[in-house]
Amino acid sequence: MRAVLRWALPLAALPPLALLGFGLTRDVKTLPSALIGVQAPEFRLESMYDASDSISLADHRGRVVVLNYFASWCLPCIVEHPELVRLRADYDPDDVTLLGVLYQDVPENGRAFMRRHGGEWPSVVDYDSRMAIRYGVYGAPETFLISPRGRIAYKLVGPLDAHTAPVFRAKLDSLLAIGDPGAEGHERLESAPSPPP
Amino acid sequence: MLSTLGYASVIAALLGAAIMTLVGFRAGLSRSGNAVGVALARRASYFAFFGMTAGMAVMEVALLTHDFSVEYVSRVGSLETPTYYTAISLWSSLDGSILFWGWILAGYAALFAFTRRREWSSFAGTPVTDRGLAPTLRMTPLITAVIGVVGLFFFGLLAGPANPFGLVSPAPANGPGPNPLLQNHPLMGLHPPMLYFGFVGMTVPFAFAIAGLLVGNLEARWLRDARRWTIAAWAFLSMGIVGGGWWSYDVLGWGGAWAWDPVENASFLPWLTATAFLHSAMVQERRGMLKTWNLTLMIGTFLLTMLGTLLTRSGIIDSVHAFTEGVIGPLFLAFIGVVAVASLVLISWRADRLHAPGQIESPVSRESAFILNNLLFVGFTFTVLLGTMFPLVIEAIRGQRISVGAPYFDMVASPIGLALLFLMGVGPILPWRRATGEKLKRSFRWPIASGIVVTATALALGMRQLYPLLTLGLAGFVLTTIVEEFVTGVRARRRISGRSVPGALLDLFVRNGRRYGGYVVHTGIVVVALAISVSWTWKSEREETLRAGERMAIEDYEIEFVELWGRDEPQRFVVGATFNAYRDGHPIGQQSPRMNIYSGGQQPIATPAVRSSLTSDLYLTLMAFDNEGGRHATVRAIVNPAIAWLWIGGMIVGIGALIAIWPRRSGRVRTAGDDLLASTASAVSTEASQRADGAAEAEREGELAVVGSGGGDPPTGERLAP
Amino acid sequence: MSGATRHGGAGRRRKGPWAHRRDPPGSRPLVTPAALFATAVLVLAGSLDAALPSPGPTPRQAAPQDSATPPPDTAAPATPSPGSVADRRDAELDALTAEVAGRFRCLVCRGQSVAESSSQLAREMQREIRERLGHGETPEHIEAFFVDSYGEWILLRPPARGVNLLVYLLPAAAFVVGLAIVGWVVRARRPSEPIPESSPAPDLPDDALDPEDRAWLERAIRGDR
Repeated sequence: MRAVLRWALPLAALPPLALLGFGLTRDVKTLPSALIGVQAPEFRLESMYDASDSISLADHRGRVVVLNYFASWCLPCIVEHPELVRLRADYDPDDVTLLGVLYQDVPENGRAFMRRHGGEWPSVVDYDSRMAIRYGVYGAPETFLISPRGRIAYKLVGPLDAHTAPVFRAKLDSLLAIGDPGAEGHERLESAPSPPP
Repeated sequence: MLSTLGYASVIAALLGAAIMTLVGFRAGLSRSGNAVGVALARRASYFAFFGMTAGMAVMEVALLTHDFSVEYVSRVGSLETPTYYTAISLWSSLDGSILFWGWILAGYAALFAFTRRREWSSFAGTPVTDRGLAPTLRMTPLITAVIGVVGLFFFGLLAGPANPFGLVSPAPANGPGPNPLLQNHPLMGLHPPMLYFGFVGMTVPFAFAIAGLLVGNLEARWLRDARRWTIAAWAFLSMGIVGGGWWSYDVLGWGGAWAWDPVENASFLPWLTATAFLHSAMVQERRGMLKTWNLTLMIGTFLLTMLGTLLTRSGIIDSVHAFTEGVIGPLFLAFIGVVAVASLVLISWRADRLHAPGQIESPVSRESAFILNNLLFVGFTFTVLLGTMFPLVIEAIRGQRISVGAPYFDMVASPIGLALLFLMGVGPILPWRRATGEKLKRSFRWPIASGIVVTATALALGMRQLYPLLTLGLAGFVLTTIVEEFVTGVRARRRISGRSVPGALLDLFVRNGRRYGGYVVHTGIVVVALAISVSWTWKSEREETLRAGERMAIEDYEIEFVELWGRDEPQRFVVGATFNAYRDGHPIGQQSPRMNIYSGGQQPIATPAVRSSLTSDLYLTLMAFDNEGGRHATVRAIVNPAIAWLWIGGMIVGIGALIAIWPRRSGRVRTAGDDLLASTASAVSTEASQRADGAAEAEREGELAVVGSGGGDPPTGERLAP
Repeated sequence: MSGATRHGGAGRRRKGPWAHRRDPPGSRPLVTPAALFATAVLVLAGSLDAALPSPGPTPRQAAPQDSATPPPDTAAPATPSPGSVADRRDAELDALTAEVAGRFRCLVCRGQSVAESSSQLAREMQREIRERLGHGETPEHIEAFFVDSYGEWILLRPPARGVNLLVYLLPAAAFVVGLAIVGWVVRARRPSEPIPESSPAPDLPDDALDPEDRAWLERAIRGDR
C-alpha cells in the first residue's frame, strides 16, 4: 500500500499540470458567439441619415448581409474603415449588402464619421443597444456575416484588418458560392480573435 | 549604457544563485558538513542580492530619466506620466515585476544567510563529524541551495525571455506609459510590493521543507524558524491582499472590495494554506505530530504562489490583472511541474522517517481543533481553486466557455468563514491533549453568553438574515474568549511581578508575543469579518440625474450637484462633477467623482470619490454627464456602512503578526550551542513537553503561560541568532 | 497529502473509538463533536441560503435612460409622488431588476456584474431587464434570452446542469471526505507511553548520540546545567 502511494502521489500531480498546459494553448481573449447558425434576429431600425426612414433586415433577404457595428468614439473602427470601403468596392451590391449599425452614439456623430472616413453604405442607429443585446454584441467594432437565408454564419469581434480580413472574405465568398451552409447544424466557435490592444 | 549595466547585474545575480545552489547542495548533502562551503554559499547569497539591487537601481534610474533605449522603459515609460507613477511603474508590467520578484528573492536569501552567519563559527573545536550535530548544521546550506534553485529560475528568466534590459535602437522619443488603471491611485505603490514580499517570502518555508526532507530530520529550531519566516511572509501577504481590496474599492468604481477575480483568488490561495500551516505547526511543536502534513502545506503554499504567478502572467485565465502571454507561461508551468513532482517524490521517500511519538488522545482538544481548522482552510483552498479553474475544465471537456463568478464564491465562502470564526473562539481555549467537562463549562460560560446576547440584540433590532446574525453572534463569542485570555494573563502577570495593568499587558506581548500577538491577529480577523458582514448587509445605493443645485438624499447623507468641469492633464483628459455633501444636515465637504479619458481609444475610466468615516462611507461614481452644456450629471451614490473597519482590521492583523515575530530578549545571550541543545533536546523527547503537560492544568490558570515557557513556546528563551 | 499520524513501535492494536480514555467521571467531551455538527449545519445552511435570493444591497432608485456620449438631451423626469401603489411596485421592480442583473457578467468591466457596472452597455442591459420584468417575463426566461445572445459565459453562476454539477458537488464531497479523514485521525487512541530509555530519539537517525552526549542532554533537559 505504501509503495503504491509512493508512486501514486507524484503521478497525481500530472492531470492538473496537463490542464494548465491546455489552458496555455488557447487564447482566452476570444469569446465564442452563441448565435452562429441561428436565425439572425429581425430588426427595423431608424436610418442614420434620415430619421423618417427605416431599414429592416428582411429587406435584404436573399443577399449576403455584412452587419458592421461601429461608433464614432471607437478607434479600432477607424482602423478598420478602409478595409470596409474596400469590401464595399469589391462586391456587387446586388449580392452583398453592407449595413452599418451605430452603437452607443448619436446620428450626427455617425454621419460625421462616415463623411470623414469615406464610404457610401446605409447605416442604422441602434438606440439603447436593444439590437446589440439581441446580437450578443459587447463592444465595437463587431461584424456579422448573415447568409441569404438569414442565418448568422460568422461573427468577427474586433476590427477587420490585414490579419482578420482574409478569413472574413473567405467566409463571405463561400456564402456567395454555396448559398447557405449549416442550415441544419451549427457552426460552432466561429469568431476570430481580436488582436491584442 | 544602462542597458548593459542592468544586464550585467542580472548576470551577477545569476552567478550568485548558481554558486548558492552548487556549493549549498554540496555542503548540505555531505554527511559531515562543510564550514567553508557554508560560508561560500552565504557570501554567494549576499552577492546575488548585490547584483539584483544594482539591477533594480539601474532600472529605476532608467525609468526616472526616461531612457527609452532600455526596452522595459520603452514599453511602460512616458514623458507625461507623473514622477511617482513612473517610479512605481517598475512593477507595473511583466518583465519589471519579475525583476522586482527576483530582487526580493535575493533579499530573502541574503537575510536568511545573515541570520545564520554565526552558526559554524560557534562550533569551532567541536568535531563536526559528530553525527548529532551534522543534521542541524547541514540545514542552513541546504536551505540556501533550494532558494538558489528558485533564484536560478527567476534570474534565468530575467537573463533570457523576460529581459527588461534589452537595448532598443534607435531609442524612441516617448513611450505609451503604464496602464491607466495603474495611475489612478497612490496605493499602487504599496499593494504590489506588499503582495510580492508575501509571495516571495513563501519561498523560504518551502526551502526549509525541502531541506528538512533531504536531511530526513525535522527538529525544533527548524520548525520554529520555518514558522517565523512564514509569519513574516504571511503578514505581508495579508496586508497585500487587504491593500488590494482597498485599491479595488477606491479605484474601480463599483463600490466593492473583492470580486473573486481569478487573480484575486490566486493571491488568496497561498494565504489560506499558509494560515493552515501556522496553526498545524503548533501541533507539531507541541506533540511532534502532523510532520508530513506540515511539509505538504509548506510546499503547497509555495506551489500556489507559483501558480498564482502563472495565472497572472500567462493567458490562462482572463482577468483585470492579466498582463501578457508568450513563452514565459510555459516556462512557469514547467518549473511548477518539476517542483511539484520532485517534492512529492521526496515526501513519498521520506514519509516513513517522520513518525510522531504521540497521538491524538481526545476529540476535544486543541490538537483536534487545529486539525479541524486545517480541514476548513484546505477545503476552502480546494473550493476556491476548483471554482477558479473550473471554466478551464469545462472548456477542456465541452469546448464551451462558462463563468464561475462572485455569486458562487460568496455562496461557498460564507459557511466556511463562519465555521472558522467559531473555531477561532474555541481553539485557543481548549487545552492540549484532553479537555474535561468542568473546565469547558467554565471557560465557555461568558463567551457563549455574550454570543447569545449579541444575537438576541440583533434580532430584537430587526435583523433577520441568517449570515449576518451568525457573524455577529460568533464575533461576540470570539472577542469574549480573547478578552478572557488577556484578563487571565494580565492577572497572572500582576500576581507574579506586581506591575501595573499596562505594564503587565506589555509584558504579555514581550514575553509571550506568539500567543498574544496571535490573539491580536484573531481580533483583526473578527473585525474584518464584521466589517464585511455589516457593509454588505446594510449597503444602500441610489442613482439619479441631477441638475446644478439639485439634491439627492441617501440614508443620512445628502448630495447637491454643483458643477461639471473638465481638466487637461498630460496623459489624460479628466471630466469631474463636484458635489456638496451633507450628513444629518451638516455640510461635510465636497466630493468630485471623475471620468478619466485617455488618448488611445480605451474606454473612459471612472474614478469614484469616497468620503470615509468610521461609521460609513459615502461613495460617489460619475455615471454619465451632459457632454454639451454640462447642465446635468448622473451620479450613483452608495453608502457603505463600517467598511473602513475592513482596512483597520487588516492593520490590526499586521500589528499582531509583528508582535508575534518580534525577537525577544532572554535573560542571557543565546548561543548556537543553545540552539543545538534546544533542537536536539526537544527532538529527543517530546516526553519533556509531555511531562510539562502534566502541568497543563496549571497552565490553564495562565501562570506558566505568561512566564514564557510552555504555552507553545520552546523551552528556552527566544532570540534570533546572535 | 497524508495527514495521518503514525505511532512508533509495533504491536499496538487498535481499540474501539473512545475506549481507553482516562477521563474523570462526569466529564462530557462535547465540543469537538459539536464543532463538527456546527460545521455540517453551517454548510447545509449555506446550501439552503444559496437556493434563496441573497439579501444584497437595497434597491437602487433607477435613473432615467441617459448616456455618456451626448444623448438627445433628456430632461430629468419628475420623481413620482410618494405613497402610490405604483411606487411600491416600482420599488419591487427595481429590487428584482437589481437581483436579476446581478446574475450576469458585465462584458466591458471584468469581474463585475451587470448590476454593479457603470458601463453603458450594462446600463442598457439593465433597462432591457427592467422592461422585460415589467412585461411579466420570468427571471429564468430573461436568463435564457441573454444566454441565447451571449452564451452560457454571461451567467456568473454556472447553471447546475450536466458537467457543471461538479463545481457544486466536488467541494461538498471534499469536505465530507476531509471530515472522514479527520474523524479517523482524531479517534482517541491509547495515550502514548513514555519512550523507553534505550530506544533512540524518534527524530534523529538511530545512531545519532553516543551515551555520554545523551547523558549530558538528559541533565540539560532536567534543568541542572
